[in-house]
Amino acid sequence: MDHKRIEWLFLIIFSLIDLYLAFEIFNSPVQLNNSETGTASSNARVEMRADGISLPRNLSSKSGSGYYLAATKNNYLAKKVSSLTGVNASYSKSDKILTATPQTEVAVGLTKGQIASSLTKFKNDENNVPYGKQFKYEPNLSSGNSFVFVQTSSYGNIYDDDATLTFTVKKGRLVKYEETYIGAVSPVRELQSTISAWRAIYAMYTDQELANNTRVTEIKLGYTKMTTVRGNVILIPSWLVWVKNKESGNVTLKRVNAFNGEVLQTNTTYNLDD
Amino acid sequence: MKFKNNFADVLLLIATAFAIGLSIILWTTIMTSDQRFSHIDQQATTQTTKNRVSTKSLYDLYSPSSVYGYRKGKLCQLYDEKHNLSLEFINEFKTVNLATPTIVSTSTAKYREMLDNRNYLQLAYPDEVTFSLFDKKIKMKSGYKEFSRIFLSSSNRVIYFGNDKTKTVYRMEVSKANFNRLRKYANHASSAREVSLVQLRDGYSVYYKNSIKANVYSYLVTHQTSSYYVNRLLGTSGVSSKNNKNGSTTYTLSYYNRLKTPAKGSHIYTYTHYEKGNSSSATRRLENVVYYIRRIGLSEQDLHFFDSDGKTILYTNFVEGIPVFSTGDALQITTRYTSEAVKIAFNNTNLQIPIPYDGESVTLPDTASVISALTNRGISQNSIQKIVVGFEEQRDNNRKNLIDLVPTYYIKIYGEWKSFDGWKDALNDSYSITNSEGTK
Repeated sequence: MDHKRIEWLFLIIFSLIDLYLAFEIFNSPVQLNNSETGTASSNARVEMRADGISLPRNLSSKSGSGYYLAATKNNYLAKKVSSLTGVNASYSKSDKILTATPQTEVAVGLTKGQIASSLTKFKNDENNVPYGKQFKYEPNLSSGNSFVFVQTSSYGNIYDDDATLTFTVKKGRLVKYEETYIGAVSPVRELQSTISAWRAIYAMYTDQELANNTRVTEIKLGYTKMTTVRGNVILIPSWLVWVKNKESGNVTLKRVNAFNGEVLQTNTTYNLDD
Repeated sequence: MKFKNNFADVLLLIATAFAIGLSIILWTTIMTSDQRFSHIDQQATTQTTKNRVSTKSLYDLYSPSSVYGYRKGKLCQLYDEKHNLSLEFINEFKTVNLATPTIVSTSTAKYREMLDNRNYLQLAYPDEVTFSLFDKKIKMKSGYKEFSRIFLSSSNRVIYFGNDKTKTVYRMEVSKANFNRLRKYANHASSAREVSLVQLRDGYSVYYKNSIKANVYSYLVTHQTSSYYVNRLLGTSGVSSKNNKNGSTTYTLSYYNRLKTPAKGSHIYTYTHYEKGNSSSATRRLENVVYYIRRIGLSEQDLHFFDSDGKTILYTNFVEGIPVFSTGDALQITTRYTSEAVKIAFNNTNLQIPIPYDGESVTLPDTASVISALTNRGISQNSIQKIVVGFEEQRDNNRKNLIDLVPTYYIKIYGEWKSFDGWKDALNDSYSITNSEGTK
């Protein structure tokens, strides 16, 4: 009888051990596939929230496409100064900046909407602004009396100091404008896929480029300068991310390479000319 | 009554013995499973190294490399300067609801009919990929898991898949597909080169009927340092190192991870991760590389699947649909799976910035004349596995960060990729060895 009891005891104990071991085996996943990325991604959203980082609603997770673009360096605006009959213009060859003041008073209104509309009409006249129709108002870069327009192309808007039209307005009147022009752009290689807006934010977060207690106020895909090589400016599709510090209210603009997710710091120049 | 008692005793004995035996088996399984330990190792590494953000999806890595269609009744390789046809396809393919395909035919004649059918737009992979890579729900029986070509008809409800090696044609009913834009772009493609598909040992290779003019491209390149890879793959603590005679260094972390840096003059690193069960299925092998690419921190921008010999899978950068071969005919990534480990050889050269095209080009002969030049030198046609036009990486001696990509023919023979000139040199060497041995 004792022998039988021991046998029952063994059966119960070992059955329990079996259950435990079987559970252990099925519960030890080794996932090397890309599902890991999805989990990391959803965890990041929770972590960002915990760090006080606010993101725009409906941040897209859809990837897109873009080109490497090239523009030939040249003094495009210098040739245009003489044809500007509506403004008094001068061109600085060293800075490649055209500065102009209106010959007659130009009223632009008082509200931001009115001013943007008036300046758009003004810059579309070739007698006032060379290549003016190629520029588009960018409210995120404008502040106070400064109204900034960025150069456009059929591939996307260009966000660079060398492709900007900045108007200075005072008391409802246009004071002056400064213009830089990068020239016509063309693709360097074939169309390639780009990362989504969410991936760009995630890249910034993992690279510690998103500080705690900040708000991402705007994210846009545009072209920015990567480097200058052999007299050509190379532009890449970039996510432009405007980040506002919740405490100080300061806004900073950050750039993420939309091809590979690298946070872009400064432009570099390679001189490969013989 | 006694019989019943005896029977119950025997049952109890058997059940107890079974429970004890099962415990031993389960315990042994757990203790001998490397996966458990490597899992621990992976978690530790994830904590010490910052994960690079995955920039591209599995779809981008496994996108078709070339597109073919008929122009004036002739098969042409299509390329469009403005629209990337392969990218257009894969972006749409991502959104399609796939279903389990049915086998339409397995005969060579029927397969040839598909290839010759002018109504289909063909998207070709450089080698076989599995259906389940794109949808885990697709379960196919052994021998019918892979495809290498997609045939798009004018219908958005059906996609045909083909396997160039087995000559199997599959039919898949799909939903939410709209390839109209791709068809439009393909119809207006800026370049259409007349080609024929010729059966070689590993399937159909593209033969250019006429000599072709191909562009030479230049890139600014960057190279990551050894410490970057050591840090990413092995972490910062518990790593031991040993210098080798050829100038390389081998770094080891525990018994499971090893990284060998390049010998002098080379850019090829070798990372070995010991883990059982890595190579369990073709899909798993194709999937796993995505994890390793991200973990190593390689640029994924131009990287695509290139070639597979079962447990050896090759990936390389593609520029305008043409694969790039590094110096010494190496490819960007070579993964080798064994029952015990996965070994990844990778090149640290990153094609960082494309330099605007300056008009330089080379003229390559028609493909048939290249093949006959090889067969005339003693290579049998049966041993030629594949032939492709690839970019040969030529480094500028004066500027270390500049490379030129020069188009040339690459041929796979005896499982090895070499340029046309490379094979000619190799054959000359073997001739001279044979001749010198013969004269002795």
